[in-house]
Amino acid sequence: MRASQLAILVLFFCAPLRAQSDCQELEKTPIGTANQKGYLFNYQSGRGNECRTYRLRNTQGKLLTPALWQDTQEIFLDVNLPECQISAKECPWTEAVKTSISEVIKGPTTLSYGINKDECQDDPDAYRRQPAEGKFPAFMTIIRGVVAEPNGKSHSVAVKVISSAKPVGGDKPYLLLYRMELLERSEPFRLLRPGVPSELQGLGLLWGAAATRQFLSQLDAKEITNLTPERNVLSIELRTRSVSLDESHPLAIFAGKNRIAATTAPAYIPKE
Amino acid sequence: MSQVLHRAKEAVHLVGVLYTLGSVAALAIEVAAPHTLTTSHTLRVWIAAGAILGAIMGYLRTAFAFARKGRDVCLSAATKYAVSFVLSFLLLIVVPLLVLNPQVAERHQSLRAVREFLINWMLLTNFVEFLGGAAAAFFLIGAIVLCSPHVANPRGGIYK
Repeated sequence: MRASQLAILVLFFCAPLRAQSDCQELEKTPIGTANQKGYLFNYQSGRGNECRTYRLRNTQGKLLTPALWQDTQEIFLDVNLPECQISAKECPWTEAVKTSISEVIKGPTTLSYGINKDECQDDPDAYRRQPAEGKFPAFMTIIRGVVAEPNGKSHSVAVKVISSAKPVGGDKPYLLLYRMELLERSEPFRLLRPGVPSELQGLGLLWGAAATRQFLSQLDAKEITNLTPERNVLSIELRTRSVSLDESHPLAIFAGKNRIAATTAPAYIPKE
Repeated sequence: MSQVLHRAKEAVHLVGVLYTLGSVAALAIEVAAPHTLTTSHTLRVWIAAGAILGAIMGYLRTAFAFARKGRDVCLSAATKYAVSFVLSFLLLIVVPLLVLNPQVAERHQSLRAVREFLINWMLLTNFVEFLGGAAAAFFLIGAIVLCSPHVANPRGGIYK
């Protein structure tokens, strides 16, 4: 094999394929640095066709860093960035991928971090969404990366959720579709219910926006309690008379009772 | 409600207007102090809330508990209160904030585990700071109240 062929092969396998397969980024903001009061970490936002990415990573030698990146409409990432050893070649990104309905704009966001995640604040420009009206575009949200739990243990997580709605006519004219998918190299999750704290070991996943009574009864009917590498996709369908959008309850990852990562994951829900 | 107001009036009468104003000024300083110690808005609110609660308790409890106890007893207690104020302020407010400071934790390996614990149990950390604010204000206001000559030897009114 010639050297040039070998170089192409190496480039192919080393390229960041994961991000591109979920959201092919057409534009990215330059990697920014949050640097106040001894905290030092990187942030970056990107946009593709109807999707946006948000990522944070600690820098070498820096300790556990609580961070919250949001704008007025949604939480992009709410996470404790794990300590990154000074000897580490590169610190891992923690990333959220979101679908962007209608127009994506670049504008100021709020990145707060430190004690209570409000000790320091930067206002970096990032890709944000402008809300669309009168349509039912699908919402996809991905959260993945390495996150730390209270005892210092780090977890590799990667999960994707999609909520969509479409008019189908009939007595209940709307079909709501939910899909939860465990992505590559992620630890398995137990599926949690709102307001039911888990004492069990391992990671729990709560899609707060989707977790309506109807959604949970479908879960019970299907007897699904976990997302594992063997059973990595969960699909739920609901018929309803009318639809509303819940953006307030995040997609959250728990280790025991502790929420260790969260991001806004909108979902269409039956309007009661 | 009227009973509470009556009790408060009693306390002001006992302590005297001058020392009451001194207590209010000390409380204002302690509520403002977190602004110089941390930029976390949430933590400032916790400390300030603790300080207000501690100040009210310190003012009322000290005034009634030490009424008629004599000047020497009051001044001796005031010294103990002042020392307790310094200790509670340092141990419950300043030390946790120092441990949480990443620059301090980076220099001292032994503090890293404590810092991670404090960050991961932020509600507990906030509560410790709340207790710090309450204890510091209790002892500071108590010390000021104990310096009032009227507390040791009440004059006129209901204490005649």
